[in-house]
Amino acid sequence: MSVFSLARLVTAGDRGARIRLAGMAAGVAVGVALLLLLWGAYDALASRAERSTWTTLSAGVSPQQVSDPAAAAPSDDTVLASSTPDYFMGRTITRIDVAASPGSTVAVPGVGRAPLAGTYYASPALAALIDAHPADELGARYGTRAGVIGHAGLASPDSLVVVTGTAAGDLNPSRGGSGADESQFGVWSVAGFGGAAYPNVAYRTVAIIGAIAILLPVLILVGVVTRLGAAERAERFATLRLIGATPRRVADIAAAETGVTSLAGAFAGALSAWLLSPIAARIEVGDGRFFRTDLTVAPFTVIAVVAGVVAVSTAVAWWRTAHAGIGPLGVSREQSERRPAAFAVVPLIAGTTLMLGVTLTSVLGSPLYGVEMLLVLGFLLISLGLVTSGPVLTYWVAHLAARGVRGTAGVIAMNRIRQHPRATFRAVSGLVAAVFMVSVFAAAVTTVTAQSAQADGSDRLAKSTVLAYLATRPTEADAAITQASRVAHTPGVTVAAIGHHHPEEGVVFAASDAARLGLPVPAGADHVQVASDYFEGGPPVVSATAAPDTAPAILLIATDGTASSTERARTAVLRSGVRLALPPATRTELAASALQTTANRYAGLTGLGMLVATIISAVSLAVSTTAAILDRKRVLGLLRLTGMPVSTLRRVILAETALPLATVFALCIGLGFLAAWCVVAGLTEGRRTVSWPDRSYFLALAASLLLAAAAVAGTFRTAHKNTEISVTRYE
Amino acid sequence: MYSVAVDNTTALLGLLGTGASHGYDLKNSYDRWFGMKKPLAFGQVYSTLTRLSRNGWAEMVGEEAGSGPDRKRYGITSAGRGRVQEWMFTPEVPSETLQSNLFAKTIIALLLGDPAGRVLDLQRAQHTAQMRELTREKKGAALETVLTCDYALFHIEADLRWIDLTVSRLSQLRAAVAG
Amino acid sequence: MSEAKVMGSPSLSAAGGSVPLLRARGLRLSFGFTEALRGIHVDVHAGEVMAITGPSGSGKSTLLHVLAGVLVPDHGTVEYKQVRLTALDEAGRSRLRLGEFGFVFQYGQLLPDLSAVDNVTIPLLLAGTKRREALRRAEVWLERLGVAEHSGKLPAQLSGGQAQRVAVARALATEPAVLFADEPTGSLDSLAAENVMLALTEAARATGTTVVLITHDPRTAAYADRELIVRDGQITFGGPTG
Ligand SMILES: Nc1ncnc2c1ncn2[C@@H]1O[C@H](COP(=O)(O)OP(=O)(O)OP(=O)(O)O)[C@@H](O)[C@H]1O
Ligand SMILES: [Mg+2]
Repeated sequence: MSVFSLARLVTAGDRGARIRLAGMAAGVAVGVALLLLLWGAYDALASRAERSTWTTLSAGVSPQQVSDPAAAAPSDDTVLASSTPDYFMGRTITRIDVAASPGSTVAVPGVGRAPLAGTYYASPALAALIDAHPADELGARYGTRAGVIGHAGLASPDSLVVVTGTAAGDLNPSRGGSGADESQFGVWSVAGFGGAAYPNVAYRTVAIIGAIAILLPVLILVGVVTRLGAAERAERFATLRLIGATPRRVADIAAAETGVTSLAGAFAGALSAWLLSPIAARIEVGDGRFFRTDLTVAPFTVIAVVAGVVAVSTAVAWWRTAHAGIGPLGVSREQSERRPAAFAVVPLIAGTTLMLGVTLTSVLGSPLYGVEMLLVLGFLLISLGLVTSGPVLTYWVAHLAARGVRGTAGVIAMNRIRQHPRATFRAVSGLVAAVFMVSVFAAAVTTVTAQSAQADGSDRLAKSTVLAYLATRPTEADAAITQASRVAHTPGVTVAAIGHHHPEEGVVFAASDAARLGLPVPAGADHVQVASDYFEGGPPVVSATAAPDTAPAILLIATDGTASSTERARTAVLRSGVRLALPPATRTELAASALQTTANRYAGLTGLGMLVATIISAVSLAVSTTAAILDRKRVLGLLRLTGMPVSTLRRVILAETALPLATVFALCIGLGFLAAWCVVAGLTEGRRTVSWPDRSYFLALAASLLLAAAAVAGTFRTAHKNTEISVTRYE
Repeated sequence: MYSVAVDNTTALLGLLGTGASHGYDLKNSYDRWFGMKKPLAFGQVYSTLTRLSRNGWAEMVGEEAGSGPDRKRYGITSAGRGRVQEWMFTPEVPSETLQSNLFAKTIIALLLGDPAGRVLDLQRAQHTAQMRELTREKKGAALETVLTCDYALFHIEADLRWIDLTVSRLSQLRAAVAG
Repeated sequence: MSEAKVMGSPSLSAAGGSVPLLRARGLRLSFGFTEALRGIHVDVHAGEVMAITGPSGSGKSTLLHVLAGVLVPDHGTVEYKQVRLTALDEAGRSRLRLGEFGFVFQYGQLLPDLSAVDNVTIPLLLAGTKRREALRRAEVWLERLGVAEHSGKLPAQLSGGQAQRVAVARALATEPAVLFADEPTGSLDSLAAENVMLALTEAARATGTTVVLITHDPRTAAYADRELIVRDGQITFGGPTG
């Protein structure tokens, strides 16, 4: 008789076995579906990063910074371009100004030939925004619309991008952004536009670590479900052994059973991933939603994932059964687990040491060769180490606790853990991994959001005031004043005042302008000096000073405070022809853009990763807790029959979950922060660091604990029902 | 050898309880149920019937033309019925003759439509009472006594098993008797 | 030849004047179309050891569970010390089982992860005894049942007979008023069965515990003071003999 028909024979007809197999298939399906979707998302992040980073001009083909664009006319195979951020109602627009020769052969991604001067191409989302608002708020900034930017030039359907055509002479070489990456601003001559999947190796490292973080809980889920009902299966296998099956044959049967089941589950998972991708594409990550095609995983990858999951689970089932030592006497003579060995904590210690060592050498200024790979290795070791050392730590703690416990539930639970440290820890391992990953991400993200705009106050610069830092040349000083007065006539604008550089610090305003701006002017002063800090939201430090003989430094436009007025003011500044050093923006926009880095993209995914990891781990927890009760169904049923209250049963379940979790909970958080610091500080040689995560982290922790509690509470019912007198066979 | 031990007097009286009968028919009926190993001799039938009549348990209910004892029909008296009932519902002391007598009682009870299960239960109670007695005796006794008691216990247990099995087969047996 | 008394109404004849500890009247219980109990009357007197025998599927276990307040009959009443079990709710019956009754089953009632002595402490802990005191008393009971030397072993390391004696120790540790045993020797050989039964009856008599015992084995039933025979959900025979 073939292995398959034997496997069918031992499972068919047995309702419990069928439920077990269905549960296994469902678990594998969930795992595979999530795996494929997340794989797709990672892939999509890379390809969309590649699509969106063409706007970083320094990454183009033979880029050259140009200081006098009027003198460097574009040839047919080069264009002049500048890339600047623009703002509208709190959203950032990427603006590319391109000057091309009439016969230009340089293609702009998603556009094709560069637009003619005075016309523009907008991304669909931006085009919709332009159409929805009056021209003097947004549309007038760019000219006449020539078309819409195609898919190939956009990261996401939500991206706000505009490509405007301009004359070479109108490009402003002193124009900059305020981000950390100064090199992308100014005017560049490029022979072509190009993007990069990862701006640098550090992001690639972060992306790999993120992938591991999401893969781990998925693997744990698959591991948990393929063990479903192990005790019940062992009993059936014992019967087979009794009637003469060799251990190898029994292992073959287990492998066949698991193989077929996980194959079915994996297929179902691949199908659901495909069906779910339009829904998943609606989730906003980083730059916005995904194009659906981004999330579609290549057929080869799907086949590889399905085959991999099936092969691994089958091999593991075979190995486990072959080494479980199922004798003909079966579970009645079941040996308890081997005591976990102390060396299982080695990977954890090795990983921590490695990460710390690598980071410290890097921070101290002599980074080792291949820091990134060493950090990934250390991270892998810590992740693995948490899972392997969990049973040992749990065993030690249970050993200590077993002496101290008083109640029935405590005695039952502690002894269960002592006899089965691996099984009990496995139940919470998903959650442990999730808490670790959540901590890593939450801490790593603090590097992105560490600073935020300063507080508001009645004496502070209003958040609706537009600041336009000027790059006015001495010859243009008078023109700037005329241009400013034109801006002042824009509806909604209350004041438009030009400030001049002070020889030492800050900006000099005429006293009348300062008074109109609401600044405290010392009596009798003609001109006042305002400290720079004021423009970033600091307190006004005003002192009388002499009339300036310097160039204009800033154009301050106060508005009536409505969003439309701010946007109108901004549009007016952009159209006025005043030579700008930075895009006109409010102080909050400037502060935010200073923080914006590519890391944000990955930070967005971390939220998703946390969610997925937590949900998966709650599912694994529920599954393994239920299995742990079903394995002891008869004994617990008999105890309930003798009068043990259901509340004791609940306390047993709780204690069996809480102890292993509590054992490693603090460790997970600590190691998570450490790992995050190592990655951030190690990759930047200490230039960046992590700080306390914000409230959402604690919310996420609380949510994961709550989810765990819900998962455990969900098993109460099963436990209650399965130990009921009517289902217990008591003869 | 067991058939010898059957209390054939009362068994014949019991058979007579199913209806008045000629000696010849009575012998055939007896042989069918209890005489597999050793059929009853004609002479024995007549001497038994005479003894039963003398005790007032049976009586002659008619004589047909012709000669010989076979012309006589015998019937049971009410005293006779009482005797059969008493016999049936008195359990035997566990012994080697038990099976055949108990079997006879069961069959007669079935033939007479009396509760045969009760016959067996009474016997069972007798057995278990003795087992309890032996079990009590074993407690704290010398090893020889324990072993002797064990021997007796296993023998009584064998009877009990037969009784239990017969109880389980009672409906089957009832059908056979009716058929 | 005819020393044995012929019994009348089986369950009532046992009354002997005193008020029974457990008194059941007119018990009926069906599982779907299966009538497991069909009008049963039982009296169990304080301190006696009563055996219930009968063919397989006759309703013995069902009767035991009804008497112990595990199952609720469709009709009829069970009174324990003049309290109607049948009128209590599940929580009340649970409390009663925990406080007053002990249970022994055929096999597999010991928690596999707990040592023998820890298993015996479970009902004591449930009753609110301190852990240290529970351990002390558990050791005493293991000693009394002759398995003290195995107190540290896990159930998987015990023989069937040893495990049964640990189970008996666990059932008796709380000194219950009634011990219910369903085939306690069902999976044991003659000698092991004898040891378990001796230990059980000795211990029960020493503490004045009443025992209700189901068995297929006549030699096990012989340890009882009287026997009840159940057939087809009815009692066909019962009462004290000898
Ligand atoms: N939970 C149940 N659901 C349905 N039928 C049941 C249930 N429990 C018992 N029965 C039926 O009730 C009848 C009596 O069962 P019970 O378990 O009391 O028998 P028993 O005398 O203990 O038999 P055994 O000696 O084999 O243990 C049987 O016919 C059985 O099939
Ligand atoms: Mg039963």
